[in-house]
Amino acid sequence: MTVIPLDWNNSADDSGVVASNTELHWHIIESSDRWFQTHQRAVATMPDSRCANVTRWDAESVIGLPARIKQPSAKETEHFLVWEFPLGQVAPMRVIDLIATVSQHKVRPIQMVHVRPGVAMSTLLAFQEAGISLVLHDLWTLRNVMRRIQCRR
Amino acid sequence: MPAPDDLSTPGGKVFRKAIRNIGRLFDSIGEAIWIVDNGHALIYINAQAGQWLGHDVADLAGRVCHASADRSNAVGDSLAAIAPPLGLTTGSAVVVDVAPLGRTSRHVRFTMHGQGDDAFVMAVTGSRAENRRDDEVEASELLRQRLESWRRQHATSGLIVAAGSSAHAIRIRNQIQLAASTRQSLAIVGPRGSGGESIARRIHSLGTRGGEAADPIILVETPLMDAELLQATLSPAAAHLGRGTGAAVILVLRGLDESPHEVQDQIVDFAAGSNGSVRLIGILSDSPQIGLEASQTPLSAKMALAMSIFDLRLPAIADRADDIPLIATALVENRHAAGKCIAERLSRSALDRLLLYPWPENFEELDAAMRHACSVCRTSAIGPDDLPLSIRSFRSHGVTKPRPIVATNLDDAMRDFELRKINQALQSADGNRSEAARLLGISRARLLRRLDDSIDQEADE
Repeated sequence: MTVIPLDWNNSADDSGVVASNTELHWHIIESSDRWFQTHQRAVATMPDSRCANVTRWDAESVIGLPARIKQPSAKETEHFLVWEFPLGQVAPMRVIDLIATVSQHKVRPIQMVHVRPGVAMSTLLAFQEAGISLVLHDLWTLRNVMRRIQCRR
Repeated sequence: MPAPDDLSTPGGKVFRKAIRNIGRLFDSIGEAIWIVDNGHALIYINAQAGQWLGHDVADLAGRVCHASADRSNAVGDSLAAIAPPLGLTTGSAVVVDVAPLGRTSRHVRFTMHGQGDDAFVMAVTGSRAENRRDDEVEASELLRQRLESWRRQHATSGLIVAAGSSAHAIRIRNQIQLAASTRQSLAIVGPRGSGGESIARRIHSLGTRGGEAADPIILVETPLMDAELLQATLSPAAAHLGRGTGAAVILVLRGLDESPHEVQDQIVDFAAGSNGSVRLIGILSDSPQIGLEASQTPLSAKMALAMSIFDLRLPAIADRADDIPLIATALVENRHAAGKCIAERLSRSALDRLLLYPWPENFEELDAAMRHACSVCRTSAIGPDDLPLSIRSFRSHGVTKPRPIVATNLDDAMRDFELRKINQALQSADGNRSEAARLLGISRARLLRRLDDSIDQEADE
């Protein structure tokens, strides 16, 4: 095994690769594809394609989300999650479990949610307590958030 | 009964007569009743409601009735208390306890009728049997119970951040106790990853105000906010406050010193409008300063004032080298006690590696390293090989601070030195033990004996 001497500001993952920078990964969790499409359109307007890493999850596949986020990767990855609720037939309790599980990850992902009309505020509040830190009120706001994330880097 | 056409003509005599009749009917019920229109204006309130709230109904009728109403005077506080909970939809009903300041609390059933601009909410007090809490409220209670386990987990990690016997650790613990004893807003100042959010949750869980631990604690990603996003993000908190049960909300403001000043001001205004029901906990990388020009400081004047009341400073974990073994051990024990790993402790050589590493990501990196070690360790003691590669392979190149002296004796030091040399030789020989022995100028049997001894001694430890 080759031991890689590391400096202060670098780190290595389990594959032994030293990360020189971080990459962004978006996860869109919805039953339709309107948020995914909005994300894609926003990426197209951005000169930097670092936002292009995106995975779409639906009610059936979302169970694999925590494992995907915990998966070691070659680079340090910052995860951004966009939840839409209701999510098919997935119960609020299950969504809360998933949000809270994800929020326990080492590099705490930024999680945002959009709830369709009719969802109770108390449910939304419970999502926030579990780890949602941003509430999107319409599709356009995602574009603004993405731009702000780009500007911070 | 007036014809529908007459009712739709507000100026009509029949309409006014019908309203008077309905008013008399409502007064005869003996319960407080009020109606709020779609614009939050109080369009009807009966005499019993006025008596209960301690105001003349003329002072209340027509006023805006909203959770974020100015609570600095008695009328404003009453209007905020009786505001309908947000999130009601047509045909839905919610029963909540409403407790105006200085008045007895009552069950109130809020029911929404109508559509769009014509929608209104009718509120009726009473403790009738059918006034049970509706399914939505029951469901939200269940959600809150589920969240308790997550809160406890966060609060425990807050406790671990403050573990240790160093002066820093003692000060942090004392400051947590102090912060938990007040409702004032505060700033948690520390470098990235120093565990500010866990400390905030610890303070929340230790809160001394009755029922405070049950108040929602919400994380707000302030650097990504604009006015609209902030309003949407705070609306569930406003709805919670609007239930009028004396409830409070704790907002943990992540990256506060990277957020726009207008967003900061909006947050302070929201807290000020709640009359002390909202506590702000800012996570900052530098201490707030007051009296500076807006362009010179990352915090707005209003926010700097709110944050400067009390600041809790978290040093970098590398500056608390004495505490690292205790914190790491506590993290491992925590996971072991929860049945998440076999490992119960860290071997001395693993602890040495932890002391050598500079921890650029602070407490959160240490926490993550212990999670990793617990997941890969198959014995009772975590060894250096169980640590993440970035830690076990770190070489200081002379840029780290002098390594603290760990209590030891000469035999242990000799053994450690010998083992380090053997490990280096094994690495150079790609794990070939015969080759490693040749590189060290010793027999293969002696090398194997040393390795066996080290495994036995680690097991004994």
